[in-house]
Amino acid sequence: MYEENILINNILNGDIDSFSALVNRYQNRLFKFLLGLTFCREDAEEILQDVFIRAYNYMHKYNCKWSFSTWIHKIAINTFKDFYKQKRKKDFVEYHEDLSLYKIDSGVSIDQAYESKELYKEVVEQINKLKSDYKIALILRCAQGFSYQDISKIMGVSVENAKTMVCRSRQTISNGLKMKRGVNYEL
Amino acid sequence: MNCNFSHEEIDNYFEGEASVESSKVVSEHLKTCEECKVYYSSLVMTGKLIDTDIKLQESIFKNIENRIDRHKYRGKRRLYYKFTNLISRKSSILKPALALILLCFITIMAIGNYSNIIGSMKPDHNKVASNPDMSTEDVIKTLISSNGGFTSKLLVQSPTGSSANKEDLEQAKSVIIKRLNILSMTQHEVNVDLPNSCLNITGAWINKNNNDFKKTLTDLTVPGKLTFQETDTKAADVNGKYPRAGEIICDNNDIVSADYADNGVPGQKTINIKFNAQASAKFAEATKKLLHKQIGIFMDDNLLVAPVVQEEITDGNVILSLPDEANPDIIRAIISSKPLLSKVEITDIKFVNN
Ligand SMILES: [Zn+2]
Repeated sequence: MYEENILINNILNGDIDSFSALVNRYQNRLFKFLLGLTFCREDAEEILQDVFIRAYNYMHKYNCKWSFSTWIHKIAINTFKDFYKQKRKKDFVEYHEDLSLYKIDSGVSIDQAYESKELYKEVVEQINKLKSDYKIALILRCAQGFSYQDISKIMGVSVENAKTMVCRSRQTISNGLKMKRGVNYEL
Repeated sequence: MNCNFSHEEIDNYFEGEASVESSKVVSEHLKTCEECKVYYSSLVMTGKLIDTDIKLQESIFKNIENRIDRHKYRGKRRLYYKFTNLISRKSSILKPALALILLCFITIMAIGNYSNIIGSMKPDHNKVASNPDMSTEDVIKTLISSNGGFTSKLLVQSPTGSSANKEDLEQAKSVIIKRLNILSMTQHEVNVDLPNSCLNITGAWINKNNNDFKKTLTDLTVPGKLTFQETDTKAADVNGKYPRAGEIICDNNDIVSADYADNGVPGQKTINIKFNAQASAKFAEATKKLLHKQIGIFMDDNLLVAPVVQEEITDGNVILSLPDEANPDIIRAIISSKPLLSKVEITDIKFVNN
């Protein structure tokens, strides 16, 4: 945290290398976040660039009483929403089949691998069916590991509300899979 | 197949946040209950999918390097510090040319957005104007010649429809100034033209990205009465909006402040409204009554949002989440000011260097 504030201070003094350092520090964490939201490597990379550009342009407005991580996640959410608004993709119903994203455990047979790919595709489908705020809450929790307090700050909702959104998302995904598969899915 | 085992407990177990005792109970239960096992599997799969360890191969900095203004922050603060040093030493060796450059910087900084960085310098628009060497008019003129700006004429009609008197014009002026100040896009001056029932505005851009400022100004001249009211949720109109029903609970006059829920996030769509004590009490009563029902928040005759009351709000702090199509900056500017009592209309707007 302290180091970040030094970097930000340097950036505000015109030091571009500090900005480069800050980008390196956050790019993978935010990339993971955006991959979860888009399931599309290209979109995630494009949005990520815009996030850092916005962050740079508004750096003088950053208030260090907030953690930088919270601040930049908020920017990422707004950028993500704007991105899809511009592309006129409504509520992200389309998703990209970037199968390289799915981790297949090594040492499984081709059949099993195919089966788990199919299963993961269905999970992706379920996640994409979530309302965007629910999806965002879920990913902030499960991928980014934020506390509900942080999620409430990032999303501007109450802690209770943040918790409910994550719980409901999980429930919805599970129910969706059940509807599609019956109860016969397991890892 | 209808197990009532708490999913929250399974979630905690999955996240490794359950107590040792609870973990035991959950893992035992998962051995025997198909339904919960399925739920747990979906948690694991979801987790694997989104908690990836996929990384970017290289720094994306090189992709954005050319899309940012490297000089955006360069020199500004350093100049400021130099300037204060010079002042504190009461130096008389400030060369005229340098002094002029420095003065420009200071002027721009003082009215720009650097107030967060330089704590001691608050963006008090009037302070710049009170610089003994420069009148407000001069400051704005200088800024317009470097940044561009606008001039506009607003026609004010009194609430009764007759031409506006001095009081009407002064009320409109103070509201418009307040709104423009909160918006912080311009350094501006508003003058009353009583014979023509007009307000004349001259403004210089602080930032240059003022696309479609005519629309912005039009949006700023609405009456802007914000009311919190009960709504009739059964009587949605063709647009799915609800008509107002019941009494007005609070309005602009009750608002102490309206800030972004988190300062400094561009495009932030949540506004934190703080009510005065009297309105807080009224609001607490209303939210108690309307618990789990919708409360309508209207701007003039339009329903802005109709959130469901989740809990009784007793402290007079209301977080207002705006719909995606709303412009949070304009709404904040409007609700931070009193409503306009007169009808205000833009009759002329001209842009300079824009
Ligand atoms: Zn069970």
